[in-house]
Amino acid sequence: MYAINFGSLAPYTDLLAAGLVQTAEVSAATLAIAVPVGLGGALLRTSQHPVPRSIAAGYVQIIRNVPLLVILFIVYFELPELGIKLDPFTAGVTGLSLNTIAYVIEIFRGGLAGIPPGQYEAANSLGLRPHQVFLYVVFPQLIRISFPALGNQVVGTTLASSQCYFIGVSELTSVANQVGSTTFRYFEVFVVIAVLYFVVAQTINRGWVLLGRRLLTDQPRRVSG
Amino acid sequence: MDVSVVIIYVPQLLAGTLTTIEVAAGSILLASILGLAVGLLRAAKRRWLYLLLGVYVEFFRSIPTLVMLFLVYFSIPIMLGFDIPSFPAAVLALGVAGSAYMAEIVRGGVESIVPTQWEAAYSLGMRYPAVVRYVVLPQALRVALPPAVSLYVALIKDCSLVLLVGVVELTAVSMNIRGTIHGRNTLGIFLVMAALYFVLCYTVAFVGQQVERRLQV
Repeated sequence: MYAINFGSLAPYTDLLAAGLVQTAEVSAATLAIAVPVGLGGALLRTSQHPVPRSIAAGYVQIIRNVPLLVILFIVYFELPELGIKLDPFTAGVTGLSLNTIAYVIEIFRGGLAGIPPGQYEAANSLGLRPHQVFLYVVFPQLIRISFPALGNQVVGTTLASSQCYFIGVSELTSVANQVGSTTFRYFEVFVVIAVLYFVVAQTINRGWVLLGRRLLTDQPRRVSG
Repeated sequence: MDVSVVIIYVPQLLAGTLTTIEVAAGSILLASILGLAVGLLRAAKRRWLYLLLGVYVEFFRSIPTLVMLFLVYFSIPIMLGFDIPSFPAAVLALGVAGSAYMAEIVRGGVESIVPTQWEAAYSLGMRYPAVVRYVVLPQALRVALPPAVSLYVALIKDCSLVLLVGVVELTAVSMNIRGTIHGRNTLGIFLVMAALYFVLCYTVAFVGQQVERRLQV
């Protein structure tokens, strides 16, 4: 009979903590790339010119219908054949970004569709330039509409970062597997990291709501220029 | 690019795709049944049931599918005292993970039905099961269809992870081929693999859209 013993994991606390930090780094780096790029992609996706629009639409279709793991494998194993060699961390962030961008494009596309056309017309008739329309009229509304969905994506990307295990990034799942193979306490260590992922995801969910309340409550702002 | 290297492996890749379809079908079925049950129970307005199943939903939505696979793989032998074959292990992990998302989709669908529909059905003398079966579900499932199709696509993609528990589906087949052909057009193999997943996912999404269009009132 297998005797469950969580105590045997005690010496590996630091290692698991380091894994958690690496998970946070991969996810944060990915989101720092994917959110701005995805916003740009959404503008292309909703542009009036058919060429950028179909390129963005095609990108989203391809990425959404191919597993993340396949993208990670192509980035990590096949780019070197073409002369681009990436270390596991960079490859992980690249693959995860390629994936996340497609979802962020869809989130912002939905948000842009939620802004009434009258807003653009009003802004134009006030004589605002295109970049001002975006900055002062569209963006503040877009971020409000898309905020909850972006929060889900932050959680989604963080959970998906576990797949970087397959290309040797020493994030939480890899570290757990490593601890499992030294202690043979696979069951215990995976229960521990499941709880850790749960806590992380719940913290992001709660934190996101608080952040939204803080950032998005209306306050008087002066428009210059 | 040496295409012939890829062509001779096409039958193997297709065999892998067949396994992917099997795992995906099993997971989708399990996720749908379990998710429908959990979602309906959560929508049934019993506070303790709502909270208890809320823990189930929140837990499985908050851990990576990969960790689910590891957990099933390592916990089943401990809890049951014997190993289960890799195929049911994979379906169990993906199906349970998917059921948490499905439950939320179903709950959202049921809660989108306006209270007057319930009231009208009750005033016609229908009882709870009949109301759910004949009034609420037909409307709720229509609302739930688009997100459910997205979930099914996500489950097909998650099949790429089951190589972890030893199921040899498309990803594992491609990795094995890659190991045998040492650098001779491994990119081609990976692109074919990506294309096969794309076809599977796109077909499901497309069929979903057609069904959605048919069901529109």
